[in-house]
Amino acid sequence: MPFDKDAYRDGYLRPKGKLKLTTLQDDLFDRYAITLPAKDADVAATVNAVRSFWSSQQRGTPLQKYAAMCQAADEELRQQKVAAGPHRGKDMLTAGWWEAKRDEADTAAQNRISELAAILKDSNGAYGVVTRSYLATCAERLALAPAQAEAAAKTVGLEVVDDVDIPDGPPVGRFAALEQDLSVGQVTTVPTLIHPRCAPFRIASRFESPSVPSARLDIAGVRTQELEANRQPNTATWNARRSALNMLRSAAEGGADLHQVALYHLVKSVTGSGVPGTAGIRAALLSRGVEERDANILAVVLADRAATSSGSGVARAEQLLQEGRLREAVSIAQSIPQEGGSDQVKQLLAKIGSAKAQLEVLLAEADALLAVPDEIGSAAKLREAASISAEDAAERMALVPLSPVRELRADVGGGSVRLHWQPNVGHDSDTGYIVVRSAEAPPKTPANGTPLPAPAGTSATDAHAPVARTVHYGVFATTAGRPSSRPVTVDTISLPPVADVRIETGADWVNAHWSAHPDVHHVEATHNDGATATAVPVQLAGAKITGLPEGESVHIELVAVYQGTDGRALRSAPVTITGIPRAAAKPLENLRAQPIAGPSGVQVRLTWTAIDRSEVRLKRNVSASRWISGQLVTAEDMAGWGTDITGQTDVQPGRTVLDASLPPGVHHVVPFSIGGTGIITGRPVSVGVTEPVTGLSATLFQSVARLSWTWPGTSNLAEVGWQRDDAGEDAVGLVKLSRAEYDAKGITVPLGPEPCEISVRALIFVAGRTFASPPVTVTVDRIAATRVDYKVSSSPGIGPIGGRTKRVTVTASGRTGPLKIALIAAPGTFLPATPDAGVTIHEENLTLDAGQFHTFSAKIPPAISKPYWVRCFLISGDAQLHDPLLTTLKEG
Amino acid sequence: MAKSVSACPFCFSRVDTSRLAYQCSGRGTVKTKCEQKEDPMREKHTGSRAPSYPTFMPTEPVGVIACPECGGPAKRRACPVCHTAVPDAFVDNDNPMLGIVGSKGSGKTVLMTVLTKQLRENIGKRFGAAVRFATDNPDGFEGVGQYTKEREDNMFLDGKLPMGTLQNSQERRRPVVLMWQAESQNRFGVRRLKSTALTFIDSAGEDFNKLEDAYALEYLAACDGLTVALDPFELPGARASVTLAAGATGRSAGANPLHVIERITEILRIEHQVKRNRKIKVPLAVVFTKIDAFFPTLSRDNPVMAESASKFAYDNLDGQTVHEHMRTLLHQWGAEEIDLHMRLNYDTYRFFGVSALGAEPIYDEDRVSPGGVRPHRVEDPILWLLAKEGAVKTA
Repeated sequence: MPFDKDAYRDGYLRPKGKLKLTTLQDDLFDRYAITLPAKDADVAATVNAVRSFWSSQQRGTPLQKYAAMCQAADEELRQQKVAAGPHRGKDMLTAGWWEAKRDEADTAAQNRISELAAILKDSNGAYGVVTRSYLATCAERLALAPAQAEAAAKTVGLEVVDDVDIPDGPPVGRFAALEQDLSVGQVTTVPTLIHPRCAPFRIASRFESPSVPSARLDIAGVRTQELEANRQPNTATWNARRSALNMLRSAAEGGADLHQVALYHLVKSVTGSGVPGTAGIRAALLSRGVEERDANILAVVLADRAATSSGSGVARAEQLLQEGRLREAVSIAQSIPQEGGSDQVKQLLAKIGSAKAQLEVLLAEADALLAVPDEIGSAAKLREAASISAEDAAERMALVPLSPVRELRADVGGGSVRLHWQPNVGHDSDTGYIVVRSAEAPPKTPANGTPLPAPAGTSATDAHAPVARTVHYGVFATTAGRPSSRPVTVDTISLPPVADVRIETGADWVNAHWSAHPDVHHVEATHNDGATATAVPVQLAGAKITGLPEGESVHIELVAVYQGTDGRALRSAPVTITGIPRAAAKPLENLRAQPIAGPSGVQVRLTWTAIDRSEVRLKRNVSASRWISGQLVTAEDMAGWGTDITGQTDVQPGRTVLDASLPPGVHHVVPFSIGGTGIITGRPVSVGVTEPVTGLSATLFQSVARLSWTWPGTSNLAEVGWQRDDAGEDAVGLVKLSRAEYDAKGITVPLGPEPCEISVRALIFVAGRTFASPPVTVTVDRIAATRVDYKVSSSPGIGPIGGRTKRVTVTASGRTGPLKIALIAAPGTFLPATPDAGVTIHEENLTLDAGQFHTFSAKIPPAISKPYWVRCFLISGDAQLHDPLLTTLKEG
Repeated sequence: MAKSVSACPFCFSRVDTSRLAYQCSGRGTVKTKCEQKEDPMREKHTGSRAPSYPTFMPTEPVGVIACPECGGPAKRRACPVCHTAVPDAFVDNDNPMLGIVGSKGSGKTVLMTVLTKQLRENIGKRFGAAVRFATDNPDGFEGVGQYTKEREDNMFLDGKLPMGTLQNSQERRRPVVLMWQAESQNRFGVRRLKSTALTFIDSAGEDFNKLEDAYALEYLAACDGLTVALDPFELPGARASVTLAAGATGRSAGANPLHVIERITEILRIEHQVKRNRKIKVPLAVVFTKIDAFFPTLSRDNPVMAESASKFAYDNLDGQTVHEHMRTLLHQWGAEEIDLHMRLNYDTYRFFGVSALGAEPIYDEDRVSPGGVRPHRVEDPILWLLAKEGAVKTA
C-alpha cells in the first residue's frame, strides 16, 4: 500500500480544499489513504506519509488550510485506541485500529438503513413507490450514501422512481379556455379527448396506452380526432370538443408539448378538486383513466409537492395581496368556492374590497396632481398605489410625464454655448434628455426647433450656435414608456471673442495676431499702458505697435464686434495679450545653486547675473538635460522638460537671487532665456537637496559623548563637527562618516573643560560635488579638566589586628583649584557608590600642581569591622577623581 | 593522537573530535551518486529535517574515505551522534562551548542578534579572529542569508524589534553557532589554531523557569561557559529607580532574575554532579540587559557608563571594576541575594551591565530607537568567557 502523493493530492486533498469546508466529513479512510486489508507496517507508513504530506503543504493555500483541519483532527485521533474486542489497545498506526473503525462505521450505517426503511414503509408503503428526490433527502439527513438509501427502500418493497416533471404554470396560452372547453365537452383529460378509448393510460414520464398502443399525443393524433369530431353533430358538447382540439392543434403547431399540456391539465384537475390527501389524489387519478402505477407515482409526487408548497388558495391570495398583485388575488379569490365559505375566505374578500377602495382613492389623487401639473406628486401617489396593484399603477404611470429638469443654465464661450442642468426627482440612469435650439421662440415640445446632438449626462454643447442674436434652448427629460417632460428653457446671445491670440516681439515692437468668428463685423485693438488707451490700427488679423522701449510690458486689448439683427453693434468680451519687446536672448552661463536653511526647511538658493533683458525661466528635472548651453529650443521643448522652479525672487543690481523649496534628492537645473527671437538654454547646474538629520542626541559618558540621530532618506553620509572653547588638542574636530560606519561602530565626540557644540550635517553627492543639509546642533556640558588620582595604603597589620590606619596619596594631572576630598569607610561587601553610603572618616582641603603628591592619613573607627570598603569622594572643586585598583579599597 | 573531547554544538553530545564521522560529498562515482535525504539520527537528536548526504563511521580511519553507499569520496566531517556536519576547525580540536541563555523578556533575542553581528563584524577583527557561522540554519532559518535578512537587516536597517521567542515544546530550537578561530601561543611559544564554538540558543525563558525542557538541560550541561541574560526591570528596586516608558515592563511575565539563576544553578549542579558543599566550576557571566535605562541614575565616572576598552585583549581590570559597580547597583536595587547566591554557588562568576540597543526602544511599536542600534558593552561577557578559555588574551 505505498502512498501515492500525486494521487492523494489530486484525488482527495485538492477537491476537498476547493470545497472550503469548515468541518471534516466522515471520510476517515480516504483522508488517510487507507485501504484494508493491510499490514501494520503499511498502515504506519501510509499514515506517517499522509501526515508528512499535510505538513509539506504551502502555507496559505486551500490545500494547506484543509490539511491543517486534518492535522487538528489527527491530534485527537492519535489519542484514540481501540476500546474492546480483538484489537483492544491498538492505535491508529496499526491495521487493527482501522479494522475496528471500519466495523464501527459499518454497524452505524446498518442501523441507519433500518431506521430509514421503517420511515419509508410508513410514508410510502401503501403506494409501492418512492421518488428519488425524497429518498435523497432522507439519506442526507441520516448520513447515508444513495446506494444505502436505495437498499433501505428495497427492503420494504418500494420501487424508486424518478421525479415527474410537472409544469409550474400553463404550458400554452388560453389554457383557461381549453379548460372550459374540456369541461363543457365532458372530457376529463386531454388524452381521452385525443384518444377517447385510450384509458387506462400512462402519463407520468410519457404518454402510453396499453389498449391503444399506437396512440400518441401529437399533431397527427389531434388532426385525426378533429376529423372525427367534424363529422359529429353541431351540439354544445361536440362544439366544445372541436374548439378544444383546435386549440391543441394550434398549440402543437406552435411547438407546445402536448404531453406537458395533458399532464398539467390532469394535475390541476385533481388537485383543484378539493379532494384532500395522497389517497384522494390517487383515487381521482384512477377515476380519470390513469394507470395504477402512474397514479401512485403522481400521487406521491403531488403529496411531496403539497408538503413543500406554501399553502392553500386563501393563503396564496393573501400573499398576492401583500405583494401588490391585487388583480391576481381577485382572480384566485373568485375561484374559491364561496358557498358557506369559511371565516378565512370572508376575511380575504374583505381585505380585497378594502384594497380596491384604497387603490381608487390613490389613482384619483394622482390624476388631480397631474392636472396641476405636479408630475412628482402624481408619480409618488402611483408608487403608493403600486404597493396595492402594481398593474393598475403601471398603466396609469405610463400617462404621467417625467418631471422637468432643474437649474438649467447656459455658458457662452468662444463660438459655442454649453448648457448644464440638474436631474429632477424620478430621473435615473434610464432617463435621457433632448435639447432643442430655436431662434424664434422658446421650444414647447421637442419638435419646436433644431435638436442638438444627444447630450452626455446632464450637459450639452451647441458648437454652432448662431451669433449676435437671441437663441432659445429647451431641455426635455424622456424615458421609455412615459411622455417626455415639460420643457425648461433658457435664452442666450453668443458673441465669441477673438481666439488663438499670440504675439510676436522684436527689439522695439510687438505684433498681435488672432483668429475671429466668421460672422464678426470687425475687431478693435487698443494699446493700454495703464494710464491711457490708444486704438491700434488693425490689418489682416494683426495689430502692430512700434517704437516701444525694450523690456517693458505692452498690453493689447482685442474686442470682436458683431452686427445685431437690428443693426446695432454688439461687442464681445475683451481679450488682453501681453508682450515684451526684446532682442535675441543670450545663454545664461553664470547660474549657481546652493542649499540653504530656509524658514520652513531646506531651500535652494539660485543666483545669477542677468546678461540681457530676456526673461529667464528656471526648470528642474531629476535627469540631466540633453541640451548644451546656447541651444535654441521651442516653447514646446521647454514646456515639456521638467518642472518650473518658483520661489521668492530678489532682484538686486547685477544679481538675481531666487530661493526655492525643492524636494529632497538630486536636481538638474536648466536656465532658459526667452528673447525676441526665441528661447535659448543656458549652462545647466546640479544641486543635491537633503533633509537634515533628526533626533540628534548625545549620551554622555566619562570623557566622550556618543551621538545618535535619524538619517534622512536621501543621505547615507554625514559630517560631524565639534568645537570647544579650550586649548585641548581635540577641542575642534570634523569627521565624515557613512551610514555603514555609523551602524557598525557609531560615533563619539571627545569632551573637555568647556562645553562642546556638536553639529551634524547630512551630505549628498551630486556630479562630484557634496551638498550638505543645514546643520543640526547639540551642546554638551563640560567635564572637569584635571584628573586627580589617589592611592590607599594601610599601616601594617596581622590578621584582624592592626592595619586600621589608611594613608591616602593624591596626585593630579594638572594644576587644580581648591579641592575638598572626603575619605569614607563603608562596612559590608559592597563598594560605596556615594559619600553617604559610609562614614566620613576624614576630609582634606587641598590644591595641587601637576605631578605634586599630597598625602593624608585617617584611622578606621573601631565600630567598623571587616569586611569594609574605603573610598575617596570629591566633595567640592573642579576635577575628575579616579579610583585606584578596587582591591586596594577593600578590607576583608 | 590525543583524545579531544568537545560538545557537539548541535546535539550537545560529548564527542571525540579525532574520531568524527564522515559525510558523503554527493559527488558519487560514474555508476551511482547519493541523494540528499532526511537523516533520522539528525532529526532525533537535533529536530532538523534538513536533507543531507549519508553520514557514517569509517571502518578504516585512515586514507581516502569512501562512502559505503555510492563509493564516492567522503571528506566532510560530522557529529557521529547527530550526523550534523561540523566546521573543519572543529576536527581534532578542543572546542569549548560558550552558551547564552536568559529569562523571558530579558532582551535575549535582541542581545543574541546584536552580539552575533558584533562578533562577526567588529570584535573578531579586533582580536585577529575569524568569526563565522558554523551552521547552515542558524536559529532555525533556512540559511545564513535568510537569518541575516530576517534578523539583522530587519533590526539594523528597518528598525524592527524581533518578536519575543515563543515557547513551543513541540518544536526544537536551532542554535546559532559561531566558530571563533584564532591563533594562540602556548607557554613554549608554539602557535596553533584554536577554535571555540559559541552556541547561542534563543530559548524562551519559560523553559528555564520550568526546568522541563530536556534540550535546554542538555544545552546547559554541555556549555563550558555560560552567559545568563537577566531583565533588571523585573527587580522592583531597579524599576523604582527609573521612569520607564509604556510597555517596558511586564515583558518578562514576572520572571524573577533570582529564580532564573536558582534554576540554572540547580540544573548545573545536577548535570555536572556538583556536591552541595562544592561550588560549580562553570564560569558564569551574569548579564543585566537594558542597562541604558539606568544611565541617568549613574554618575558619569561610573565604569558601567564607560565605553568598552578597544584593546587587543580582554581588559580584566575594567571587567573587575564593572563587576564591583554592578554589585553595588544590585545592592542599591535591593537584590543582594543574587550576589550572595552567586558567591555561594560559583567558583567563577562576574556581573555585567550591557545594552544591546543602546537606547530605549519604542516598545509600543516594537521598534528600536530612531537613532538606530547603538550597542553598549555587549561583547564584554563573551570576551571574559573567551579569556577564561584562553581563546583571547587577558590584559
